[in-house]
Amino acid sequence: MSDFEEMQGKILACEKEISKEIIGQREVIRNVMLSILSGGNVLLEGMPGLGKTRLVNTISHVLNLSFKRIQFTPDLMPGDITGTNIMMKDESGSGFKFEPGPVFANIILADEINRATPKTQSALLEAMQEHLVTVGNVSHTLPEPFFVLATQNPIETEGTYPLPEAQLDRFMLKILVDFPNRNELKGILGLTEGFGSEPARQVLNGDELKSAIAMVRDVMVADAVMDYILDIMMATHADNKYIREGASPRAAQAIVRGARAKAFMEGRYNVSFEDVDYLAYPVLRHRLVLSFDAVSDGITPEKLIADMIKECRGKMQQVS
Amino acid sequence: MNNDKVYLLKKIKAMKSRMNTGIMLRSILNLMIIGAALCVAVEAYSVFRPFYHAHLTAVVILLISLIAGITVGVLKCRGMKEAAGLIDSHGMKETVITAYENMDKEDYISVMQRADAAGRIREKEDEIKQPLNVGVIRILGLICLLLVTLCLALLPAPSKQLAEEQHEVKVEAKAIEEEIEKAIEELESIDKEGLTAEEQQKLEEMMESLRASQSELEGASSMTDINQAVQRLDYKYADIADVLSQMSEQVANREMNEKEEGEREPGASPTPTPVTMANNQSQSSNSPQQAGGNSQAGQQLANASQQMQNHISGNQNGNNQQAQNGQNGQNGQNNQNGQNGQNGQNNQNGQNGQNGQNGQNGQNGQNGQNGQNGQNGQNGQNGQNGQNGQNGQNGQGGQNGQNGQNGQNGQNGQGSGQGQSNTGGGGSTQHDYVSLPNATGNDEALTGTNTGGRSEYSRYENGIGWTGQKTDPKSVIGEYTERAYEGIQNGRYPAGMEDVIKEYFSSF
Repeated sequence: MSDFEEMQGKILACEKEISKEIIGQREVIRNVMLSILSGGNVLLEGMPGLGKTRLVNTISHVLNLSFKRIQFTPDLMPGDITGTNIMMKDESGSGFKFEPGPVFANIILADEINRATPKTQSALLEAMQEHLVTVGNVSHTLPEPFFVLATQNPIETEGTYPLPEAQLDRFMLKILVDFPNRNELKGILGLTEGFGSEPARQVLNGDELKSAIAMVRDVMVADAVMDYILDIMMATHADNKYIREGASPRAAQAIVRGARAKAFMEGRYNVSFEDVDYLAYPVLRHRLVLSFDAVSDGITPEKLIADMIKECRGKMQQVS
Repeated sequence: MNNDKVYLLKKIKAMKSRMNTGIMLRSILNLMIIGAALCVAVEAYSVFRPFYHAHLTAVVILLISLIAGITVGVLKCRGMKEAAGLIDSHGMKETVITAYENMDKEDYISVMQRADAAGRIREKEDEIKQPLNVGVIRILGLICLLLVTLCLALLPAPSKQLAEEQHEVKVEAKAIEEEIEKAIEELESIDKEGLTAEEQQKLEEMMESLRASQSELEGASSMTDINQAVQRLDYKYADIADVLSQMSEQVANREMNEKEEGEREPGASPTPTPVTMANNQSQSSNSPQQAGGNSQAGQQLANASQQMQNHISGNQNGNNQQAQNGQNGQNGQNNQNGQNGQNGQNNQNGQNGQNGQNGQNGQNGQNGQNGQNGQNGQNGQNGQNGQNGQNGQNGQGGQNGQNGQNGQNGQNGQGSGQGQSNTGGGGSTQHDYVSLPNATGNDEALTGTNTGGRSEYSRYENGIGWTGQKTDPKSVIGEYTERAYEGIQNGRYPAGMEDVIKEYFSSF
């Protein structure tokens, strides 16, 4: 068995272990794993109590990564996230010392991120993109691997601050956490109320994860698949009365990376069209800025993405 | 690992071949269906409307559609990449196309990916079959359309017969048009510097007349039209030949006069006659230094006249008898003086304007034999007879005068005037005398007494040579004109003579 296949097996094992703690939500788990393998950040959107925090906690445990949770509130200050310079006094004298904030961990759970002010939200921008935190004139490198998993509540919009487009673009995927079905709910109850369950065990460590991320980057993408990705991207910028603003180039990168990760997790060495289709939804749904017409007509981003995929597939089949 | 590469390439090539075969067949069938539909339309059209080249057009359309189908098929041919993509469409998750694109790479991921692709193909080898997708409906449609085309092609229809006839007419007309074109070119090639303005004008009119015949032939829609046009054309040729011959003589005369003026020496040899001059000129066509500019034009005119004669001959090739006669006429023109008259006699058998040309030759003669030529003109059926009347003028004696009268009957203005003049010159009486010797005739008709050896005669206006009562032409011309026009309307006169008749009566 090659290293590649061995790592593929470990990642699948991670997924399996996470599933022990998170009942149902297989797609959510898969998407989070894809994002982690791609080195991207995830925005989880769902109702409270659906196991978002538990999911992140389990992932950090299985992957053996450091985990910090930040509960975003309106009075949260940027320094509360990044850390700050504090005055220290000892035998050698007094001076400022940087006290790292909760952002200094491998996995950050930014819970209800839309409740913090834009100023505080933007404190995460540099960390998410550059994996750096700059306080004063000093930049501090964050530990690798570094992931931000943010959550937001879709219904309680009062007193919230919608994430600006620039910050939304930093999230590789936006994953919708749906309410579990009856059986899944029963499983959740059984798990949490002590009917007995096997706890998730640690499968990977940080180094192995970094190695897996490197392997994912080697997954091959055929020209035809790349063209298909570009077609989809350009379709978001085509004349469409429901789309006010299309996706950024970062979205194309996210699709390629996510598709590679998906192929890797499925034991393949190349990306398929199906991988692209699968990734198009979580990558594009928060990047498409809908027009007033779309809102008034009840058009969702998912509907628009489905249409674009259909159109691009048709065009591709015509060419071939 | 290398086996995987070979295996993949083999599979991709096989798929490419299969895919392109399907594309080629579909393209050919699609375009041939369109072509066959057009063929049906063409053949159906030929059933209702005359279209001679319907079959040819249908075949050409089918061939073009076939070629177009092959061309489109070739243009649509896919490469290895597309073939690999097609294999991937059988649930290969783009492994084959990725492997094909990275066939040259030998890094670990490429090798593994290639092996993965080859393994997937091996697993699904039985499922990966690309149908040609030709379509039974397509094939049946093409066969049906071809059958319909065939049926329509074989279906007899009046319009098809009409189309064949029209085609023959066109072919015939085209051949004659080309001949006319040659004649026009011949006229155009005449050096006009040696001609007077009037002669140039005549040449222009000749060419215009021939062009009119060309236009007439272009518009001909039946063999009857062609025949009529040919008859008129023959007349024109003959007329043109005659006029050209006259012009040639005039040119020769002018040249002779110029020569005389140039020499102006006493005791010079007798001046040759214009006719002799023209003939000499005709004979000495290889001596341009004597002729100068005029002789060149004269020679060209004579040649052109000969060409016009040849055109007439060419028009008569369809009838052996006519061709033979025409040849005789040609001989007459080439011969000299008195012998022309004999040749003219040959043309007595002719049935067209060639006779008139012989009459002109008769003009060149110097004895009574010219009169015979005039008589030949009488046998002619077209306007050349008028020219024979002119011959009569040149002849000596009443016989020539009689020919002139024939010319009057056969043709218009020119023949008419000159013929009448000859009639007077010949001293003809109003009616014949009837001699009644003693031993002949009906005694009851005799008057007087037997004088015993002496004979007597008397005149009666009921003899066999009596020409009847003379009537003022003005009193009958209206009636005759009306009859003539009725005859034209009823088709009593030979084709092509209508205009001549009209012109004749309108000249009064």
